[in-house]
Amino acid sequence: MKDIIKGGLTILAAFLIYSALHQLSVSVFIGVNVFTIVVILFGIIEGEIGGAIMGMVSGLVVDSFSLGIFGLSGIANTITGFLAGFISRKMNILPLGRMFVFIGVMGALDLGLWVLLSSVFFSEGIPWGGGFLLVQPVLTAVLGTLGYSFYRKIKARHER
Amino acid sequence: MPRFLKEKKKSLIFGGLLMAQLILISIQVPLGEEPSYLEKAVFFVLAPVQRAVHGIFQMSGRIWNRYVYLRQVERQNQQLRDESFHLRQTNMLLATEIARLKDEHEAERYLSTLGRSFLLATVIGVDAANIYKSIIIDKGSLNGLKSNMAVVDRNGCLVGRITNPISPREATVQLLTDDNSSIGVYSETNKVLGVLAGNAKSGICGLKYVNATNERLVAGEELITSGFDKIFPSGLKVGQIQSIGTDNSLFKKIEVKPHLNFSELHFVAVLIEKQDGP
Repeated sequence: MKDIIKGGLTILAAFLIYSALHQLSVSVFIGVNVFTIVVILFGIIEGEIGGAIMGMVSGLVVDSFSLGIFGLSGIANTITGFLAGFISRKMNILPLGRMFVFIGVMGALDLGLWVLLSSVFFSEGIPWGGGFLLVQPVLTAVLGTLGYSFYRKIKARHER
Repeated sequence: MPRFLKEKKKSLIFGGLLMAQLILISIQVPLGEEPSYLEKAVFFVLAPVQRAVHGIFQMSGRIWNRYVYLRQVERQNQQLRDESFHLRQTNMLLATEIARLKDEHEAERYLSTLGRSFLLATVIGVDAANIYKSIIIDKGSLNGLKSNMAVVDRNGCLVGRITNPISPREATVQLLTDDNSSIGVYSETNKVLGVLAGNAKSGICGLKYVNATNERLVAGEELITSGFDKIFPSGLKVGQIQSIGTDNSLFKKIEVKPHLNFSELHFVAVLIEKQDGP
């Protein structure tokens, strides 16, 4: 139950940030995928199942606010969340540099999956945003690393 | 739970999640563009949240715009206050200037009735040590001023004479109240002659050389310049006799209150000797 509440609040927080980014700037909105960051971090923190469930729910939330195929982002996010949780248990990604690379790779994977599913299997148009979409993995890596560092600090303080 | 399922639990859940989404996608095929119930449900639950976030941003934007607007208004208000202050100052200066010009005009009109040519000058300074001794005017040698020219006030009453130093644009006026001032005068009614001597300590002049036996002079009588001193032209009003007394000397002790009024002494007229025609 605790995990469900935690997941629900995380989704809500991500949705609030997602909505706020939309108000700020369209470029930022395209370049920063809050849900991808949340899914990857959730996978790292809670494990592959947590990451996969978070990926599915957040993907469905994203899809429900788009006229595209409902479930498309869900599949990409589910795979990303699962792999983020799975790989992070197999290797040490705690050093900042590794964390940055890992989140960046996961972000690229999520974007790649989504583009692949959209264009190849479902013939969906890709909103490249003047190429700004390609910056998404880098911004995901930066913000994800910062977010995870912040989480670790909060956790360390809480445990003390 | 069988051991096989326990070991593959994670993979099975992952596969189940993917399958569920694929089913969701496949359900949409017969629906066409019509969204599924789940999509509708998620949308209906989260759309108000998005609306609220939008509202918060809108409100923040409005508050910010209002704040910026108020800051602009405050700045404009300050500018207007400054402008108003400067305009008030200008207005006051112009009012003073108009009053001065009006006074000058009136004085000029009055003085022209005296039948003498004169030059109006503004008083730009008073004697720093004793105000009853001298004043400085804004006309000098370039305006034709020379030493010993008589200076009168706006009513044509004697103020004093031009004395050195005289610069090209400024000149000193020795007041009739100065200790070293001596003016030949006579009383208007009884024509008693005397010499008006200044007293810079009190600003009250003394009428000298009136015999103690002279009984014709009365208090309140007007004194007029006689012209016998060859400096001041005759007929200029000087002051009024304030008191007449005697002591053990041969002459009366007479106090004269000069017409010279410092509060009205903003400008004066220097009497210019009439030039003889060709």
